[in-house]
Amino acid sequence: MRIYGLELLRGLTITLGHFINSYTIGFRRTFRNRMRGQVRQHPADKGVFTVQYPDERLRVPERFRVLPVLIFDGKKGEQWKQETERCTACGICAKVCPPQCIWIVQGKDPATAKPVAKASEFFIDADVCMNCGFCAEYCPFDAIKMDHNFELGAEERHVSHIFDINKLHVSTEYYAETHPKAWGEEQVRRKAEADKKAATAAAAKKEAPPA
Amino acid sequence: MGMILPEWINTLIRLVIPIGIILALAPVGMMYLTWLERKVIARIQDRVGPNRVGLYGLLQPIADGIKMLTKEDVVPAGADPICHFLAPVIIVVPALFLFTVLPFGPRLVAASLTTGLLFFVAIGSLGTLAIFMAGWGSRNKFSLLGAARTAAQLIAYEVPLVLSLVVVPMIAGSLNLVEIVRAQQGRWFILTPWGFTGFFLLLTAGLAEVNRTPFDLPEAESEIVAGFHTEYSGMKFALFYMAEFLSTLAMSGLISVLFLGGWMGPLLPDWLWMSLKTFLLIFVMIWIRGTFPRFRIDQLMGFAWKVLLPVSLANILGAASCVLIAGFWGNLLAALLVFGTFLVTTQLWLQPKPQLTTRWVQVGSS
Repeated sequence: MRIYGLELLRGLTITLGHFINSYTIGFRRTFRNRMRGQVRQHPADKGVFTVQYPDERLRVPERFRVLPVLIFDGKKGEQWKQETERCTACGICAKVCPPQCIWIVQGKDPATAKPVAKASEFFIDADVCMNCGFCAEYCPFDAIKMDHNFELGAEERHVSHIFDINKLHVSTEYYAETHPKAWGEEQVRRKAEADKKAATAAAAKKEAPPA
Repeated sequence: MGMILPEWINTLIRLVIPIGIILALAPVGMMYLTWLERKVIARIQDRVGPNRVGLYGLLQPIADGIKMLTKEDVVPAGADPICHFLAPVIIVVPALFLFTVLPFGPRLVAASLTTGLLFFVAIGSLGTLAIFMAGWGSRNKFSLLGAARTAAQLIAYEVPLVLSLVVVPMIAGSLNLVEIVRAQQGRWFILTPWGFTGFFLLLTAGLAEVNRTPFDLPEAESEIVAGFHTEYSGMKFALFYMAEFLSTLAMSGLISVLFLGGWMGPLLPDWLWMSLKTFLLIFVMIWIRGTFPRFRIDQLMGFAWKVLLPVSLANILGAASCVLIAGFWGNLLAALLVFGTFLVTTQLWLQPKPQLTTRWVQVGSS
């Protein structure tokens, strides 16, 4: 035999608990997050879950990727120069790009007018890009990386969504801040490669008879 | 005032002022009920609710009102224009009428009718007519289905509603709502066994009467789009909502008058106590909406006829036994009657049917 209605009452207590928690816990968390300057969401959390998006925002995961950017060695706020530019205009990214949204023009030496291993123009059509990240995977010079820039709304798409080389370039400092883990791994890898190169160079030097 | 002005002006003023107050306060109250409902439901679901328009979203109802007023008013081709136009007008009138008999204080009542309770029940079920007009006039199958469901549901729930109301005049000895509140001077009716049962019966049947969740089958959006108001837009749609919220408000007011002692309470003024009790009941209704899913139509009908009706009949017997046998034994008898009936009816008819086990046969085997 079962007494009907008791489970209904139990259900009511559950929703009342949510109602009360949304005020008590939600208030505490709002206060704490104001202090920290960020919002946290976890399945075990109680209370209000809403993130008031333009005012508050969740931190995106590090490997979250939207559009590629070009890296130059420098500080934030600096202007990129041909010397600090990492891209060598090899064109691998443009070849592997599945929707073919990358367009590169090789740079020329201003004095001799000979082609140099630097890009002078670099276009990415943001509407065509499918955010796959192949370009960043294939780049042998660590020059193109995926960024977190997801707020890309514009009123038209034929001009402001064709990103040129000036818009695409970000500094290594900016990249190290947004992708600390990836940047650290890259530094370790680059150092190991440099060490190996130096070791082989030293070995070659030792083998070769001194001139 | 009566000394200077002629008699007819005096009477007119006495009539016009309360009517004016009701007409002015009811739409405002309804607008802020929508706000309250959205807020409470949001909190139950761990959300924030409207909070963009004004402080705590307090201007949201006004923004919604402006939106409703400026929207296009569409009348479907092939609709009955008179029915379609009149339905939203007619549905608001009975909802407003309900407030005339509700006492917000010993003298704060627009019309202290001797048959106030009867008036409330009679006017309260008039809304069905407007809903059926809307369903018929829209020339839409969903509207008609919703209207048919409304008619079926209201006929089913009117019976336990009235039967659960009957106990109050039995004990209070009057149909006048002011007298009923006065009769609760010693203790509120909810503290008696028959009053306790009556309160829950009336709350359940009242929820069904004003088409609120879990009894909102006439506008079940997952099955029949929006039911009877599928083909309404703009201000006509808003009028349907207004009628629904006004009926909710009036039903909460009636329950607090009948069982929660109306305006009675210590310290605070009369009207404030009455408003507090009404809003407490409204909160309970919103809370129920935030908790329970909608009934299926056969469950809805089964619940009304198989459980609510026998229990409300037993409750009338219980109230009678309380009058006959005063004191503890009468109360015990009333409680036992109701509880026994509840147990018997639920065990008999609400028990889920035994599940048939599915036997799978492999194709190709002998």
